[in-house]
Amino acid sequence: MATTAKRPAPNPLRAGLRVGGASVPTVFVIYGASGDLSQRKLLPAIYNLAVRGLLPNRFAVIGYARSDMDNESFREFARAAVEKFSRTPVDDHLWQAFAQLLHYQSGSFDEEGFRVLGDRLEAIDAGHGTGGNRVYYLSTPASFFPVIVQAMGATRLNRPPGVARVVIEKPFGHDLVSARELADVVHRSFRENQIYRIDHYLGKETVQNIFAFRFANAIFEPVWNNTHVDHVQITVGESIGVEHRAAFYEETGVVRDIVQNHLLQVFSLVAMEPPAAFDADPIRDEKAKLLRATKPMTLENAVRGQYGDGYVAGEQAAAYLDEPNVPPDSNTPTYIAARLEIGNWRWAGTPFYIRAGKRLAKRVTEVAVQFKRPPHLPFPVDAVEQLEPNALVLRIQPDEGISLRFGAKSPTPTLALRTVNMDFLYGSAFLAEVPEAYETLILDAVRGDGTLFTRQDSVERSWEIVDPLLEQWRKGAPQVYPAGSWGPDLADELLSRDGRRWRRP
Amino acid sequence: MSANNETSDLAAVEAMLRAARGGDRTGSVRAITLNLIVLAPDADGVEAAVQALEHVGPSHPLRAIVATPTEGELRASVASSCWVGASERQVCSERVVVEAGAKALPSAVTSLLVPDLPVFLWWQGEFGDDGLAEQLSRLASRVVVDSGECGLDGVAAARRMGGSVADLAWAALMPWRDAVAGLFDGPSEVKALERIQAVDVRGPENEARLMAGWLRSALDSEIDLHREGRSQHLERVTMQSGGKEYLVERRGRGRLGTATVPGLVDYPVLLASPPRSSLLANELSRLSSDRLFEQALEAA
Repeated sequence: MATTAKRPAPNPLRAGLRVGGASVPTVFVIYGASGDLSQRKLLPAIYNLAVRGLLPNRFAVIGYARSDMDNESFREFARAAVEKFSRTPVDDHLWQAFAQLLHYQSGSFDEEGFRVLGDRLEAIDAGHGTGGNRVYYLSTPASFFPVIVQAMGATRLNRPPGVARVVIEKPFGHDLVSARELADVVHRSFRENQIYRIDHYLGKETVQNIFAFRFANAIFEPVWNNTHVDHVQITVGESIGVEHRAAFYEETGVVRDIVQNHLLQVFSLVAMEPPAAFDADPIRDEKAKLLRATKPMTLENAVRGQYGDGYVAGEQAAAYLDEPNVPPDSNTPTYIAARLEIGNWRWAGTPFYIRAGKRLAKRVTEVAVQFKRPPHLPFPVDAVEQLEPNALVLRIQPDEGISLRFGAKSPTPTLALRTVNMDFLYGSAFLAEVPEAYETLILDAVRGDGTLFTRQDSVERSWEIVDPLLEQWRKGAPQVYPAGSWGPDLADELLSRDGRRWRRP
Repeated sequence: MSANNETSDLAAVEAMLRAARGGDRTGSVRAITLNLIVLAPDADGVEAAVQALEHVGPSHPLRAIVATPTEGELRASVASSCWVGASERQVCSERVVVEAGAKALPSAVTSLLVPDLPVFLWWQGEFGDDGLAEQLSRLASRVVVDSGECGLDGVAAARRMGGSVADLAWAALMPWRDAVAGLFDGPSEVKALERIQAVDVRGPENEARLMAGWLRSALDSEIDLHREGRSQHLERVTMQSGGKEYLVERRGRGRLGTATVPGLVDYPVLLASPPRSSLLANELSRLSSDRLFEQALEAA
């Protein structure tokens, strides 16, 4: 177990500065620095943070991987990665300064390699005044996580002179048992508050806007409960198929890929109680409480599907079973629809219907809160026959915004009420460039703000919610749905038996 | 895109703005987040304001009322500007340029404010200690001035009007303050702060005084200021502690500088002075007063 993290001495000149940025000198260590994630996401994100002036003045990156590179070749590698994947173009002038921050150490993920890395880190501390503060980012396949963390513990990289944090990418296990095993290994070297489990979905501005919408506006919260809400629909639709990730997808399927992490995170943000403060623990406490109140998924309340061939947005799409490297008898679900129930005072009796899938009609993530009908409509029956219940839709992507559906009088001689939508698009109020999710999350890890990272209790509870279904779905076959549709027929039946129907996003 | 129109009847302005944004269509939602009054002393000031608004508008959809005191008749011109973002969404701002006698100007401005939205006043040039300044300041939650134009005495005069005051020159110092603070981020350097008795600044007087005022108030100690140079921008800040020199210096005319801490490798720092319009946009993001600035101003 690591010692309690030491707080750096306060600098009185720092008051009021770097609001939103990081100031504590830090070395950022990337394990697997020559890999895909580092190239596509981490290095471009770090570059953009530097350009935005949000990284500490005394900051260094040390890439660690087996690939044989020196500082110069790593800088060239990083430059190529930033040129290809950064959301902003490379500024030659700034690059020269940024490149000085980049270092590389080649080695294996073992004690011998990590001892050399430790020496290198000490040398950087001495020259750059980074004070022994470290963020270790595990940008490797999950199978290396235990190996790396154990070797870090054995070589005391987990106990630097300053503060140590470790960032771990999902998946956090593949079921409850493996999630606990992984946590046990990591907890031998790091305390829970030093562990940053990254789910890039939570770094999206749009997901964070759910907080702002719910807790910065007094008019919605009073009706955000089972007295007024009939049900909630959460949709995470992808138009793409598995592409070249069949091997990965065969191991995961839609439940592990989307539901256990992204979707349950969005679900918990929508349904959680207001936190006492916008800080890591109050927010994570409320999310964990909500997940604890959520009943595990059951076979009778869930539908699985697998895409067949069809057309998506006018383009022909192959069936899942015809994708490269997919076994012909695969029963991996690419679609799920399920009814979630929350056993608490606010939501008892109000179902949350979730659906997620690949090769759906379009790419969309949204939360639709459907309100109950008015208790009495004082209008002639034929005047309200086209009137739908009120609905509030939080569109997360694309075209982030809020849509409110309500009834209005149609300008006709006879009384007729129609349903109208009032749309608000965030892009119509703010044109500011939106940072990449990885920029937000890397900065938070450097700052030591765990708000957007997943705590172990939530990870375990999420597995407890989905595990029963995963176990039951090991056998049998999913219903095939045409690519480009909104899923299998059984998904419609799931709602129709409750007298409801899916919204068309 | 933009549209223009002129009138001498302020009651017609709302309809003209509506026409300028293409009329109210079914389902259209106008997203305006604040009112910005700009006191522009002359035609150059109006031009500067219009240019700045073109940069501020995309991040702050607003109604700008650019007011210019004249001897002539009341006259207003109306324009609406829209910008399309990466997501092909469009945000729009409205601009009304009003010319009127100094006595008539406050009432003209009042009639044009969008209800229930915060009001900011950007006062260009020297801050007048007169009725116009007082009346316009009273309308605003926050007054923005530039001590490079009005001096620190002008900033103090704006503060006496009672509201929250922002200084664009202070805002421009932020990267410098960050770099100077960064010199002392390490545990051993924090101790060196206790022995700092003077700061040497190469740069304009208002910025040098604000820098020294900030150090005095943050460190709660008497610190002498030695200033040199006639440049329009800050070039160098040096401090001595225990016989060692801590330094931040701009490299040429670029956005980068070098920080020197005894015992460490020199490292680059970002000293980008954002354009005035960006500084203004940042000041429109807050309503409350900046306590650090007020303390630095008092100690300057």
